[in-house]
Amino acid sequence: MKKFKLSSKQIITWICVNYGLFIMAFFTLGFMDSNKSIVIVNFILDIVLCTVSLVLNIILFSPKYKMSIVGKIGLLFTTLCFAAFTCFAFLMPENGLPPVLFSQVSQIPPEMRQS
Amino acid sequence: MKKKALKFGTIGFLFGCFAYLLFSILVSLRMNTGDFYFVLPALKNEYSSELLAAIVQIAAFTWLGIACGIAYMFSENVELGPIKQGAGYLVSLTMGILPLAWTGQWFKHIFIGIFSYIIIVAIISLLLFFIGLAKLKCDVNEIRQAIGIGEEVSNEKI
Repeated sequence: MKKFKLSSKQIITWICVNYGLFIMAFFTLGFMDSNKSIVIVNFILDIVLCTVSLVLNIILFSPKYKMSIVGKIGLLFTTLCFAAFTCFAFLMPENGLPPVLFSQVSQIPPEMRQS
Repeated sequence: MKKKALKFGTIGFLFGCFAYLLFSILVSLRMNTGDFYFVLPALKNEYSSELLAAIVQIAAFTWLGIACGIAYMFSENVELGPIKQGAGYLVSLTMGILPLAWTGQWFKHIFIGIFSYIIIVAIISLLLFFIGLAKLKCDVNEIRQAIGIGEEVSNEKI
C-alpha cells in the first residue's frame, strides 16, 4: 500500500485551504435561508473541516517536520479558534442549531429565524 | 539565560507600551467623540478612578508584552528541545494573559474567556512567527552578503 508523505509546506498549504473553505462555507451557507437542513450541513461541514485541520496540526507537531514551534502553536490555536467559533455559532444556547434542531420552526422568534 | 530574558523582556515591555497606545487610539476612533480615551470607559466606571484604571490597563498591556518577549526567547532557544520549548512558550504567554483576564473579567463568562484566550494566543503566536521569519530572512541576507553570493549574482547579471 502506498503511503502518503506530505512535506511541512504541503501540510501548511492544506491547513490554509481548510481555513479558506471554512470561511467560505460558513458565510455562504450562513447567508442562505435558515432552513434546518442547510444549518445542519453547515454545522457538519465546519466540524469536518476543523477535525481535518486538527489532525494535520497534530501531524505537523511530529519532530520530523522542521518548523518553528511558534508557527506550529499558532496554527494549532487558529484551528482551535475556528472550532470554538463553530461551537459558539451553533451549539451555544440561543444560537443557531439547538433552537433549529430541538424546537418547532414556529416556536423560534422571528428575529432569531432571521439571524 | 537571565541576561537574554532581561533583553527580550525589555523589548517586550516596549512592544506592550506600543500595543497599549495602539489600543487607546482604536478605542478613541471607535468612540468617535473627539476625545482621546486613555482607558476603557467600562474599566473607568468599575474602578471609579480614571488614574487607577489607566494604571491597571497599562500594567496589563506591559506585562503581556514582557511575557511575549520571554515566550519568544523560549521559542528561539533550540537547545531546550521541542517539548520544553512549547511548554515554556505557553506557560509564559498564559502568565502574561492572566492580568488581562482578571481586568477583562473573563471568569464571569467562561466560554467567552476561553475563546478570548485562544484568539489572543493564536494572534500573538502568528505575529511572533512572522517576526521570526523576517529576522531569519535578514540573517540569511547578511550571511549572503558576508560570503559575497549577492555580489557574484549582481556581477553575473551585469
